[in-house]
Amino acid sequence: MEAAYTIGGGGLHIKKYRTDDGATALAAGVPVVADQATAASQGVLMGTTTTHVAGLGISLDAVDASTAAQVTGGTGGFLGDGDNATHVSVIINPDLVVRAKLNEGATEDTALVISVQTDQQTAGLNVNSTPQVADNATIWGYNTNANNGIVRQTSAADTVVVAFPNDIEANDEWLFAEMCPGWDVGPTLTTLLTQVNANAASAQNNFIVVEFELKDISDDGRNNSFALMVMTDHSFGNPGIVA
Amino acid sequence: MSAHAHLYVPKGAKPAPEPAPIITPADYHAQQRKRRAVAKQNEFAGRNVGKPHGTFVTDEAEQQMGVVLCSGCSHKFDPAKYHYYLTREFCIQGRCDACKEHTQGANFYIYEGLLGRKHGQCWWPR
Repeated sequence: MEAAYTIGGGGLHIKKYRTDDGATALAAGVPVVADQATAASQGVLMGTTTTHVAGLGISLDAVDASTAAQVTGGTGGFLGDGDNATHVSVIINPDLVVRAKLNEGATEDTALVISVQTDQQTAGLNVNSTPQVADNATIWGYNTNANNGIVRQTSAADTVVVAFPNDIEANDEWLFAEMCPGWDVGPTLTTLLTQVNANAASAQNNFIVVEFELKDISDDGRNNSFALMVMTDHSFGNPGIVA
Repeated sequence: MSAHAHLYVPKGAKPAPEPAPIITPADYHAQQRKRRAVAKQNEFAGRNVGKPHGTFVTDEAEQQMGVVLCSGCSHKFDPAKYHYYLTREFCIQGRCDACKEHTQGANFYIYEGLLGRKHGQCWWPR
């Protein structure tokens, strides 16, 4: 994931933190949290796929795990003229909106699955497609007769809140993500925490979606759609959004 | 039935307990103070006072770490030599890795291998 913008419109504030966990390498573009349990010794840590309590921000460095006094081999440690602790650059703005790629499942860089319409729906309200689109999901036209790029939310399985403006035809192709902007159920991240699992919602996550960047077939929407999210449990305060 | 119905309370009945508050404002601020303290003590100390600026920054660059430099120190760093990209997408503030002054309008240099949107990358150059 990457920085998209800040809600307040300010610039990015970058700080560097120790991350001498000693056990876990820390990747670039992942959410990091302040270690509340053993604060004096562990520095900042990566979050998990569903929890980012006491978040600090997004990492901008990839570092190896080490607690050695002089780190000379791996990246992240520092040499003779300064602090030799393994450290990582972090964007710490509490109102930072991060852009994370929508991904199919827990393994990164997997294209989103296409849901294919089984029948014609002239009212534009029922999306009878396979695989089925669940309730409280966001669905958009990927390769359709006339609804490409148009986004709707579902209030029940297969049913959108506001009708699509054009007739839905059989074999129309949709993409979907099981989350909605502003909804109090946050998304689950992928295993390596760099992307969003589009088809697994979570009630525990400390991110919520602010908006989407959703693409159709003309812009490779299966591999090029994004969720824009904000942390809701930040060490430096919350941006007024509490999930 | 009377307009003023009386509530029958059994003898010895106790009032229902107050629901426990989720978190009070005082608790919230105490929690946030602790978090800020934790974050502060985990800050990276950076260059040792009295040590040369240049070697610290180039050591950092050789390990592909992000580099924050103020406008006064930026011209001394050659990003192309270390395959670094000078970010221009955002205004940056932070503490200069060379002179250790907190600066608005800093330059943030990021290793080119971290540019992109796949897993393991974290900066998208526009």
